[in-house]
Amino acid sequence: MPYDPGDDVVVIHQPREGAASGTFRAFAATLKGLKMTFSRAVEGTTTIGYPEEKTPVYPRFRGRHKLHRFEDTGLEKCVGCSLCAAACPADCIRVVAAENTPENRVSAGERYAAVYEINLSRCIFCGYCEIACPFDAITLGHDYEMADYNRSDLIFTKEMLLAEPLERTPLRTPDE
Amino acid sequence: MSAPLYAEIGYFEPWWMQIAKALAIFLVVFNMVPMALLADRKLLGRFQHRYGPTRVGPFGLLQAVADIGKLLFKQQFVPRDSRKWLFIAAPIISMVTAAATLAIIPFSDTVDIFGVKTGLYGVDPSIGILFAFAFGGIAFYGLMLGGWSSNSKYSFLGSMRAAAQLISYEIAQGLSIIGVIMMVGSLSLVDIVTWQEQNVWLFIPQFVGWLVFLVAGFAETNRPPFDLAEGEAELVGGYFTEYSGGRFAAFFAAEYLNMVVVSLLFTTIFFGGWDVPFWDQPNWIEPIVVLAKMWVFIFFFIWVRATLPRLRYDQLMSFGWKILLPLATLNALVTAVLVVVLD
Amino acid sequence: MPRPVVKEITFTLDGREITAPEGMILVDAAGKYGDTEIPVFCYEPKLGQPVGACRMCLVEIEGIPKLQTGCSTPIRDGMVVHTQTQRVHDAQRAVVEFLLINHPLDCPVCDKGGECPLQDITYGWGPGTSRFIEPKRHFKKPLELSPLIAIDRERCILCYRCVRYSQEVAEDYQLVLQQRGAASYVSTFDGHPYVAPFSGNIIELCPVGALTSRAYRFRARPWDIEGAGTVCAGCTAQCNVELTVRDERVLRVLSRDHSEVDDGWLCDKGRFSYQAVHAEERITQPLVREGAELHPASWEKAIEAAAAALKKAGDRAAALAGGTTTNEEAFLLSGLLRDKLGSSHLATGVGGEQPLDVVRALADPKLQATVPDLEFAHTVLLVDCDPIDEAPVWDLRIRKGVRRHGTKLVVASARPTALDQNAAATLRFAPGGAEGFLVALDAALSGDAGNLGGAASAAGTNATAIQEFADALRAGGEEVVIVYGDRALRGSAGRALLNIASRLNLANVANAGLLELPSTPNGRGLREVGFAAGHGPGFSTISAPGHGAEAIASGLASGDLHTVWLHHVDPLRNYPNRPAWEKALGTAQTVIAVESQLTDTVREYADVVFPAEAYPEKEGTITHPDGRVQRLRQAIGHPRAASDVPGSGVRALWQVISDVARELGHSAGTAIAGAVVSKRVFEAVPFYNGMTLDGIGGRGLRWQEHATFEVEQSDPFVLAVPASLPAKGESELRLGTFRPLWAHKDVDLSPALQFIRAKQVVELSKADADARGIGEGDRVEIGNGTRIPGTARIRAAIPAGSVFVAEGIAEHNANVLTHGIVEVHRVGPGSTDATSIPIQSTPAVEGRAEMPPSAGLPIPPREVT
Repeated sequence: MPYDPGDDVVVIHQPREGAASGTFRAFAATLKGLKMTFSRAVEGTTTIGYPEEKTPVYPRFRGRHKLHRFEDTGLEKCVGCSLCAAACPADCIRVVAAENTPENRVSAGERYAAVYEINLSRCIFCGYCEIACPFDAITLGHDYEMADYNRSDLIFTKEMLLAEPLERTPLRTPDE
Repeated sequence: MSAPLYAEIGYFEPWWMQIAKALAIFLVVFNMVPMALLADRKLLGRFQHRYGPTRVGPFGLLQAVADIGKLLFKQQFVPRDSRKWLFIAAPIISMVTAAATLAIIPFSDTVDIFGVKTGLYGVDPSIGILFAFAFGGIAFYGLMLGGWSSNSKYSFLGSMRAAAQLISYEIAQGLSIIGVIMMVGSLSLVDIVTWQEQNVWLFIPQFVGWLVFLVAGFAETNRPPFDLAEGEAELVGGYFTEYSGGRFAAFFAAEYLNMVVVSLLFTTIFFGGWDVPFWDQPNWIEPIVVLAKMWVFIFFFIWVRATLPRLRYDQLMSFGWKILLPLATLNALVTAVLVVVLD
Repeated sequence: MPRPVVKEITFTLDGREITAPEGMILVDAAGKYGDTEIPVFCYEPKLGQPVGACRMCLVEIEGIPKLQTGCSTPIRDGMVVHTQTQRVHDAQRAVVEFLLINHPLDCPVCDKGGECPLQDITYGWGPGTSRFIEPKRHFKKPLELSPLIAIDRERCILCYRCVRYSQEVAEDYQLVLQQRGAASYVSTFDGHPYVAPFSGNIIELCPVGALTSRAYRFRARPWDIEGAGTVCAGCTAQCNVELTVRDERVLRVLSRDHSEVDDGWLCDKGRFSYQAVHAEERITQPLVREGAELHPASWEKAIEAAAAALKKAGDRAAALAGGTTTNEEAFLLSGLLRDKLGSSHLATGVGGEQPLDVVRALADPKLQATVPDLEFAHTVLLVDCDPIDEAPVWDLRIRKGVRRHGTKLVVASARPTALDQNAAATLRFAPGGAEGFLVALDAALSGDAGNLGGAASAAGTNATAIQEFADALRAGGEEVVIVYGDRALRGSAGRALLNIASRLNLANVANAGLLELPSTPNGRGLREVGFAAGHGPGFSTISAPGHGAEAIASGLASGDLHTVWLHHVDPLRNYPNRPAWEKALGTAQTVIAVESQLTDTVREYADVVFPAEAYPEKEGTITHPDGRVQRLRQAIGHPRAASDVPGSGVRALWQVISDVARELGHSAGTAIAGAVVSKRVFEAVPFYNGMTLDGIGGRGLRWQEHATFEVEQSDPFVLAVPASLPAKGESELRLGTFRPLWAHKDVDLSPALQFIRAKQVVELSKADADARGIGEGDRVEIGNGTRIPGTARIRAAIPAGSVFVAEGIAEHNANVLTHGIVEVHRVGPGSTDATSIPIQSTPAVEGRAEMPPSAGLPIPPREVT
């Protein structure tokens, strides 16, 4: 039994080649197409001229990472537990922990991150590190402008991640 | 003894005027190439809600200059297994043939310059349009040799396509002009324009002929939707796959120069050349009128490029042979009958 | 002693019929045969009897109204067990909730996080939430339990594993559980640091993060690291280890449980001396002496220099190998010297060479005991060796046998051993009297009263004692394992040992035999691949036997030998008679040394120095004393030189020897890959035939189980009475030496082990000490002409007239004393500086006269923060 498409399928009839009406339809379709493109040209552009104008990001946009300190004591929140490295699906976080001493107290816990590196050229900005962090020490910020000339410059160290990031990206207002 | 040579045009031009004219026409029209290039990119952008190039110069106006500069400074690579001198000659042939047709385009009737009676055109040979077709035929060698001498299968396929396409559409194009020639009674482009000045723009009585000439003109210039010779989706770059740097630029410029020339032919043959209807225009404005009309057609070329998808090769062939050729023939026959009957 | 007989029974587990050996603990049977995991914390079969302390393993057994602990219930035929009922689940959740009440849940900062049984079981069987909102128990944390171990008492779940280990396995009786109830905590009884040779094992035993390694503290998390299985080449025991590697650095050494080798334990030397691998002091590029100074050189230059020296020396070249030398390196080096240069002056041991027939007879597969035999034999005889110092895990093995299987231990040695208090009989002979003792024991066993008396007095003891000892040896049963050190094999000692073996009929009794304790880790392998003066690969006869170690020294000193290759050997430190070696190396034309640090030998005498690989960098095979060929697998890359130029750093030693052979035009001795050399070794040694690296794999292959080695059987040898020991004056003492566990260059370079570095101690008897007015800890000098300083230690078990000093140590080494008779003088009172007092490795209660020696390091526990 041949398949009957019924009403579900709209059959598009091709112009029959050679027939006068087919030729006319093809001609008319061409004109229709020309009208379509011309009207697009009249509408103007929708390009955002990126370096001069920037798209505002949403508050939950996942951009460059930030490490945080406690506001009262100035100690780093990160205790170097490496859970972010474990959660990272791109394997771009490297943590080497060390022990706090009374003379050199860096974080609030027993240990701190002596080395904390994120390879941003590998990072996929999934935010799992932020979710994994038991101390809210790492969050993803709004900065997405991280292009550089060397791959090695994209390995961000702890100092770079702890530094106040440049707020280069406009934030979307609530009603936007 | 020299008088008979010029007898046909009925006046004498000194040698320096010939050279000055040639230089002026070539330089003015050749400068349209980068402008057409830029217009292509800017307009394509607009058709797609984009800006097109904006970075080089104000509004990106110097983009074409930058492109040309870049191409000229790139390495001119010659494949090891290519036919070297043919490989080098091919883009030159393309350029020269494209430019040569400019010689017969009339920008105005004869005018007085420094007391010298001068026709504002390179030459006005009695064979007129045939001259254009002749160089169109030679232009095919540029493509063919470029593709063949590269010794690359993509280039070769591209040049084969180009050859077949040019031959197919040249016939339709030539036949479509027959009606015009019959109505005007002359092959000279100056005569054709003058006829239109006195009667009516030829696209009205020769509407079908114009349509066929228009479509065939697209095909002859390898512009979309007939750019199968490039076919970057399947042939990398067609006949100029192996070309780079200045030679590539020559092919590229030849394509746009062809577009300019064909636009000028449209203008001259079907749209009254320098004529502005219902106005006795001064002589000095006539070249500007020609260029303005030409730009309308260039815009149309770009517009079509933004609109129509590339044809399949069999569609291209069947369209050329089964539709355009009969249509042009029919047009010629009907015109012939009408010309005899109305006379 | 017969191994336990296994009888299969069937029981029902969660509705399935499971067949398992009778008497197996339910937890093990469910896991191994029933594919059902019953969670446990305190249960660890290696620790002996279960205690049922954690209650995690509760299961329901039909017929018993209350839930039972699966870890203490042996399975019986027809038993019906349920592990998945609601009652069991409720109980498991309740137990986890209770355990977590006082657990601080500081997993992010805890080193155990990620590899923690408590985490795993909480995720798998726990309730997920806690109803406990009251304050938790708090202790000061973390404390130093010892310089190697940090204890966090808040995390402890009181499973008793560490305490049971200390009490029942290591038998040092130091760890106890103090206080009661929630206030309980683990510590040593008197609060002193827990210093013992096997203390590191409690780190691995702890199911939570309460006991963690100080050296590994915060170095890595489980997902940062890779495990690399290899074999520890630090001593003869060749324990199987798994190295924890992060970023091409060894960060930790864990045990890779192999019941045929190490029973899952490691000594602290093997566990912590890995730090020497990454020490700053390591030599990482070749050095060549120019003028008086050693200068870094390119490999090409060093290889050229070594080859030129060897070529010049020809058959006057000699080589010594020891340490972590692999079979492959020994094979290539001995082939180079023997086949190319025509020299068989190859020595490995510090002892003298035994005749070839004795060497062959001692290698008879029928006479070989295995390590498990130490545990299950009727009687174990130790002849002049102390496993705690030379193969530490054997000490635990023998203790296990005595404690759990009733193995009878008899000890005959000059110096009291750590196992004395477990021994059924002990015999003390005079230092250097091992040969006399063996001849006397042979005589006693054969009833040759004539030899017995003479040999006994030559050993510095008497016939009655020997006879009683022989009776004790015979009384236990027919399965006897004799453990002997190769330094005891002097003169006719080897023949005497063979006689004893034949008189005890060891060749025809299963699970009995001889077990050698070679003086270098791969002593057996070196011998078997032909690195010996008297025989080729597989004990084959050679045409021109060479010199042993002592003869090489005198040959070099007299100019008969020109060049010596020291492969992982430091004769000035590890060989007896340092003055003779100083003279020998000073006279030698060229000394080529393969060494990892600037030792005295290298600094003063070496002309060409090749950087030595550490064992985690090595690839090859080594042979366990019981004949098990084991594989060393490369765990980390070779270190680069300071210049960081690729290829300039440490290279594989088989490659170095191969390059030297190529330079010498000895194409048969070159190889393009380590595996090629291994293959050649397996082909060259008859009883290694058919072995492959894959076949050896991670567990090793005992060649005696796959190949035969025919030895001519001979009648018992007729032995002469050895020369009696030199007479000593009234005020003089006989000098004996011992090599402490910690006398190892890797210990010297490991920061974590600095506190326990071997220092010179002078061990003497109470009577001798009293006669000289020496008290415990006094500073004394010992010597006869040459004197060395040391700290006096009075040991009740040392017989009067003998004194023991440590050899193989970095400073004040005993090998400068060349006389067997010495005098001891008191030079001053003991230092009050705690760090100058040597720590004793002797682990346990020695006799009843001495206190547990846990007070070695008078540092009170302090906070680590």
